[in-house]
Amino acid sequence: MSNLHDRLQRLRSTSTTPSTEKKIMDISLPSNSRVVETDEGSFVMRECRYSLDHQHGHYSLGQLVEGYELLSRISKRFQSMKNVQSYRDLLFFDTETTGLGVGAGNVPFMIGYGYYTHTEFVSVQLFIRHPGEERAMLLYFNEFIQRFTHLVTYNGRTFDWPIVKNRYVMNRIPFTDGDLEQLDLLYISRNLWKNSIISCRLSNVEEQRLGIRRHNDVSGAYAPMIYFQYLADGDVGPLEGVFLHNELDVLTLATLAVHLGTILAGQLDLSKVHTDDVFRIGVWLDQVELLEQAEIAFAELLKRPAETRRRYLLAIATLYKKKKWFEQAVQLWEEAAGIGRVGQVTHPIHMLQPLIELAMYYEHQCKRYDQALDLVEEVLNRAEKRQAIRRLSDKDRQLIEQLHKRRARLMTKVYRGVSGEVDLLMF
Amino acid sequence: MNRITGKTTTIEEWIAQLRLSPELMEQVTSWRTIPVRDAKYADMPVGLHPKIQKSLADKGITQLYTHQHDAFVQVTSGHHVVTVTPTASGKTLCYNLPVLQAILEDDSARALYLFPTKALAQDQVAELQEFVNRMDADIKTHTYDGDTPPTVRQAIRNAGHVVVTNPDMLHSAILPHHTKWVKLFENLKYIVIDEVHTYRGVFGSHVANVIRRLKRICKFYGSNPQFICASATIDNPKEHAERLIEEKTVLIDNNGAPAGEKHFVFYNPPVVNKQLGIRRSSVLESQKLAASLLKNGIQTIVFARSRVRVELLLTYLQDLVKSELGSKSIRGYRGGYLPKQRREIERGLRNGEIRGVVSTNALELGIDIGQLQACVLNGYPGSIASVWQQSGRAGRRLESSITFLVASSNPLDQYIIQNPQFFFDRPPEQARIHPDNLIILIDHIKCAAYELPFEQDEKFGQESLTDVLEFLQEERVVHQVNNRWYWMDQAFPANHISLRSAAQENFVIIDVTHGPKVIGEVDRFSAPTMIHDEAIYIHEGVQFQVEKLDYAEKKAFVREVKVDYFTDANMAIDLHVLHVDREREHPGLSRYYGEVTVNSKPTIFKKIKLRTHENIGSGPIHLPEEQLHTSSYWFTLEESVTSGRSTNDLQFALLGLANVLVHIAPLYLMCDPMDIRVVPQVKATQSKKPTIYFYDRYPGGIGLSERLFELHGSLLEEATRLIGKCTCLSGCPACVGPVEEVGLLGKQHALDLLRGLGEKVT
Repeated sequence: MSNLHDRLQRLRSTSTTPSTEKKIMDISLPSNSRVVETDEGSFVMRECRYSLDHQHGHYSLGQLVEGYELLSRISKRFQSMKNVQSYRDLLFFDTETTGLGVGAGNVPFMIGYGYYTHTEFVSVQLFIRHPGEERAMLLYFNEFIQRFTHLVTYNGRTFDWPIVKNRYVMNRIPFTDGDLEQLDLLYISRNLWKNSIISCRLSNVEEQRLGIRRHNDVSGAYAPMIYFQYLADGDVGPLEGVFLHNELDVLTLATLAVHLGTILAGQLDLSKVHTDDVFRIGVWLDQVELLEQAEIAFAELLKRPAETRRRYLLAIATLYKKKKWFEQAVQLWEEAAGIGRVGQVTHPIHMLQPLIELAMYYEHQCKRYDQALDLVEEVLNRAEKRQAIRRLSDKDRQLIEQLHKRRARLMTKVYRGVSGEVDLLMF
Repeated sequence: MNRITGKTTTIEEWIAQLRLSPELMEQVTSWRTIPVRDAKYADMPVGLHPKIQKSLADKGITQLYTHQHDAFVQVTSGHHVVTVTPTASGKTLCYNLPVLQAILEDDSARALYLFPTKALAQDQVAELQEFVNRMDADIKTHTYDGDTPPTVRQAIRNAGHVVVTNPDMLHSAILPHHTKWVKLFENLKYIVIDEVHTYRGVFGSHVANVIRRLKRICKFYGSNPQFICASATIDNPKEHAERLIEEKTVLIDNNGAPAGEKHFVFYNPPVVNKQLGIRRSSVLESQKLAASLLKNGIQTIVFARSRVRVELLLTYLQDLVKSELGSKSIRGYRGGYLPKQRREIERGLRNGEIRGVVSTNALELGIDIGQLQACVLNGYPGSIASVWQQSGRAGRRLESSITFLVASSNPLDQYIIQNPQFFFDRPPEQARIHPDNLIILIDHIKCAAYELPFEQDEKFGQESLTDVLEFLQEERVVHQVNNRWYWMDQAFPANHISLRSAAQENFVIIDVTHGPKVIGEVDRFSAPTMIHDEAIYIHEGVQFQVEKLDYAEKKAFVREVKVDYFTDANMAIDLHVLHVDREREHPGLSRYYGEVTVNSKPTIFKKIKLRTHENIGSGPIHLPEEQLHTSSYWFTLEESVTSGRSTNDLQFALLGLANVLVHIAPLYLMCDPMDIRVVPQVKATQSKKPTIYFYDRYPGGIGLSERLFELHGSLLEEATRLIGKCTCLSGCPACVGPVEEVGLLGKQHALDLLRGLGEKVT
């Protein structure tokens, strides 16, 4: 074969031509940053300090000082998790990486984090000027995180954190995360807002729910390209935008924690909140066993106009039923059933559910079999009308079959009740 | 007596009857009998763990075959090993015994098994699991492939003792995420690669690079695993395995498994049109033979070359024997069947409920279906090694078996069937790989850089790694700092690299007759001639016309038609020699090996009437020129050989010779006939001499031409023999090509040319 170099050049003729820009090699650093020299090498550290009354969107950063105690409830497994002892134990964490996915070749070239002191919020970015600086940065970061108990991220549980852990394996550095608990705000954000805002990306959540507007923000998606360009020409200018973007993300993480903490404490003014959000907030608070706060949310929801609140009635009633709060549940079933009864007689079958719930309630809780039987008859009657105009789904047919069984059972019970009385009379 | 049918025919009786039936025997061109082979046993190796001995004993195994014994001894004394054994010789014990031994001795030890297909991997796990259960040991064996549920993946990564997967999964899922597999890579003791003979050509060249990456990761985690490879019978198992894993290996080929008597029958369907050299359909003849076997209760496997033929044969056979056996007892088996369905068929074959199976080469590999009694090959499967593999499906220890090779009218088949010595007297093909094909190599260097930064003094393949890394730095996908090269790109390189497809971008064919529906695909190189605008494209016997070829988007839109013509495209091919690496002079002829560029551009297409082959019209093809850099072998003829021939005669002679050579070359290469191309030129662009070029139809070349350069002499001898022995009058598709193409005297011209060369040599 001809020499390798020639063959490689021929290969290139079919692909891209290499860019031949000159290296600028600007040795200046981004603003607020310095080079950290360690025994294992150097890296860049940028630090900005904010006073606690710094306003970011609707909140000031300092509001977390009041509202951190309940934050562990952001995690589904909060019962087995350490509580947040102090707002100073929280580490807000976000990286900028060279690619997507969690493979071995994806490098976090910037590790951003923020934390509280007694008087300030500190935002820090660790940055490597080339991959050779990674080792020193990782060693520093691992030592630094030891003082924290909880890690607050946005999608960090499955992305940023595994990627950072990968790097320790790649560098053969033992990584000790001191049992840091993960508070990933993405899941709860999706839970609360997936129906009311278009996307639950952090940039959208902060704009739609936290009142934060960024100006000239560099989208995170461009960060890898800007970094590669920096590696090629050494020009630090475009990187400033990436630093700023990461810093704002970390600030938003803190602000989002403030917002969620306010909700958990039952202190968010719900009167101006989107109805769907109110409902989801109520369900969440109920799940994490903050029943009092949940009640406030549901009460707020029931103040909304009948038209808007009706689609939530059954769901809330089901929550009440689980807790055996039948009085409240019946009220909601009655209202929901009322909606099913007016107007068209041929509502879809699933709208008959409140009537079925009521029937179950009368049968099992009150032992009022005759009343339950009436309700079942009513449901079957309506279902038949529905059937007359529309083919039923398999699920509907199953439901009707169950109703027939229920009716048969109720009839026996009613008969036995009557005959029992008769027997009594006989004696 | 046959317990299923109640018939009294044994296979021996059936074979005896066949010999007495003249109408069948007339078509038999060769009948060889391979005698009984007795078992060769060895004692249990010293030190074999008692639990393993118990598990073997529970299955009634108290002695090992010689090859199993030797494999254990060689592996446990620290050698990389390649075993070569025929079908059904207990080869899995060759690797399972040392692997289980190691895990029983050290619970932290790990093994990685690689199989070319998911089905084989699942088969293997089932067998291994059964073995482990009999041992009463806590050894966890799992498949890790696309079907593995995400919920169990983590458990496998952390706690699986034996992880069974395929090269594709290793390439795209395991190696790029090696940080999740620390346990495995730190403790990896054995890497088992079964069916290594399937890792040849482009696929094998890719896999060799995946293995380079695997070894690199192992080294990073401080392990130095041993390789245990297993191969079907090929000519160069040791050399092939050593090229694949780049380690010295010990060859184990002292097969001790017994076998019954084996009859090998070559069967050529009768000629129905002597002038055109047309024979009766091989499908019908195969069906006749298989039906006779099945009706007599003989469990039979039929191999066909395409999925369509499998379905055809299956339908015929089920119909023919349904009164005797019921159609459920004859089944098809091919890719595209659901795994569950396949397992059911495999089970049915093992327990004898299924009496016949029609399969593609899917059943050529080591899937466990037990041993059948007879085998019918519909068409030569393309390599000697495949014939032996397929034929190995028939043959029980204590009785005879019979294999029919039924030739189709395709030239390769006709050559084999008329030259049985070629098959019987030659070793099977060599498996060839070319892991340093520049394009393949660069792809895997990218993946490797993603997995781990490269150090300045590292090696990866035979080429200069630094040169490639510098090239990648210019392409801005790696970044060099202090003698290390780091991957610096957003892309996940393994995603864009497929191990299997030769040309990575295929054209999809979309049938728009009844709303758009994808019906197939065509590789990039065939697209210009097969699916240009207005081409008639035949798919599963149905004619379609191409309405539009969207070349940029790689889509062809076709509509079903019924016409009485087919289309044939002309290609203008321009060959340019870039570099000569090797050359050799002979009297009257010089041969070369080197690098070429091939520019090809379709020019026009002809409409040719079915049956009469009249040219009934033509049209232009407007498609861009394709360029291919590849390796090539070519020979040029000297004035002393060609003098006295008109340019026209020489043209026909070269064309005829090229037609023969293109059929013979794959015989020596164990490659797909489409992988190697032959181009004759009466006046070569540079040398102006009559030349025949062979080139690898894969960018950068995959080692095929280089092998042909070495084989030059026997290639020409074989061509002379083939043309000389062909019974046609003046050229047919089985030798130099039809008269329409090479002229009335084409056959004679080609032969004269070859004989002229032969005289020069002697």
